[in-house]
Amino acid sequence: MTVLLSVLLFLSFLQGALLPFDLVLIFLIVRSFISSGKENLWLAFGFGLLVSVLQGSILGFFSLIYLAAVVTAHLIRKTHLASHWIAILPLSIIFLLAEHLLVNIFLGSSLNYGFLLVETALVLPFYFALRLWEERFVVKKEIRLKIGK
Amino acid sequence: MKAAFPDLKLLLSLVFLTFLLMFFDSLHFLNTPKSLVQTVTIPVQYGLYKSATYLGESFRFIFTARQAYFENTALRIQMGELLTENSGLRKKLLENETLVDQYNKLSPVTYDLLPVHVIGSGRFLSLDRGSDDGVLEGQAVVYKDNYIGQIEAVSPRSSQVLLPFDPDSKIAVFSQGAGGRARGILEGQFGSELLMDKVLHQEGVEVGDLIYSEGIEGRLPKGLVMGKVSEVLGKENEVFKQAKVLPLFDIVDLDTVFVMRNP
Repeated sequence: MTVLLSVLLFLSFLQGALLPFDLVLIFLIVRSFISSGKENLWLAFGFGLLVSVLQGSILGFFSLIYLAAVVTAHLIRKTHLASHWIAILPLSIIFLLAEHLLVNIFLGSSLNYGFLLVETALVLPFYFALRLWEERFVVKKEIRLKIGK
Repeated sequence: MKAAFPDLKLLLSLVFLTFLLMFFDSLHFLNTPKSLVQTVTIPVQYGLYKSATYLGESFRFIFTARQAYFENTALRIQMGELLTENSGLRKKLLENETLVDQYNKLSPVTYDLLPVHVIGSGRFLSLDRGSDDGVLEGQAVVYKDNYIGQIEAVSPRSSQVLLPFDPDSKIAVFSQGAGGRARGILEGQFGSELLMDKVLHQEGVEVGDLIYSEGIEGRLPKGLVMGKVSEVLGKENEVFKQAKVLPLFDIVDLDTVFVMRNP
């Protein structure tokens, strides 16, 4: 959990200081798609508040977006749509576009399709890196020890 | 719904809390806690931003250095080309100046002067023109109105000049100065010395007198400057006296000289 928090903290500051992409949202979508649990809700709420502070927007605005994204990703994960990893791409596009539109409407920031494309492309490395991390202790079938005959 | 989302209660609580925070923040009630948080976050953001800027500057320096290297290489090539071009132009300018200078001294109407380049100097002076350009043995080679030598050997594209310092060179000359006029034979000595010999005692020759060609040899015109008297030698009881003659300039310095094709 410490690593998870550190990574999210780093991503929050990175997007707050340098990058125009919502890395925290990407991370939360990917994590909710890979693993369920109420900690995702806490992360969405907490880091939503932090991102709001860092970006100087109204407190809770990003928390709402992140919570909605986490819940949707969790619900899609339970359906047969999530059987293949490629399903994360349309889900991410929808949420990133929705976030951009909301930011455009409520915070007045202009919609940039180039950034949206780059953010969508960033979903895949995030997905594979996080999956590798989350499944690091899961024993693969092919290397499971055979006991007896 | 509960089966689909087991943490519904938590979700609803968080959403409610979020709306509550939004409401209070819109009324500016949360400015103090926000400021407190920002006292921590702003330095971190600033540090991150400065680090990234510094890193970007470092990378930019690498790219700029690489670009500068290529530009420098291109400029060096360009400079080399310009220097070569400049050198060619200077050479042509010098040739033109030499030509104009030469025509001011010896009129091209009277003399058929062929400009030639000096391509070597040993015992003889080598020129880059030969019989193909009408150069013949015995023709005089001059620079301005100074005698340089006489064509000794000719090949189609080059020729050799017998210099006046050569021991084989014997030219009828006369001196002209305050003491009058004296006739003699200018003979080459080993090295870069000339000796005016067979000068009658009664004829006046003094140090500083200029020596001119007599023009009695086949293709050599009269009045070319041969040099200047540096010393007069001779005793009263001898029939002839002698004078040491120094050329007016160093032949080695010459780049372009002229062959007189019709003296």
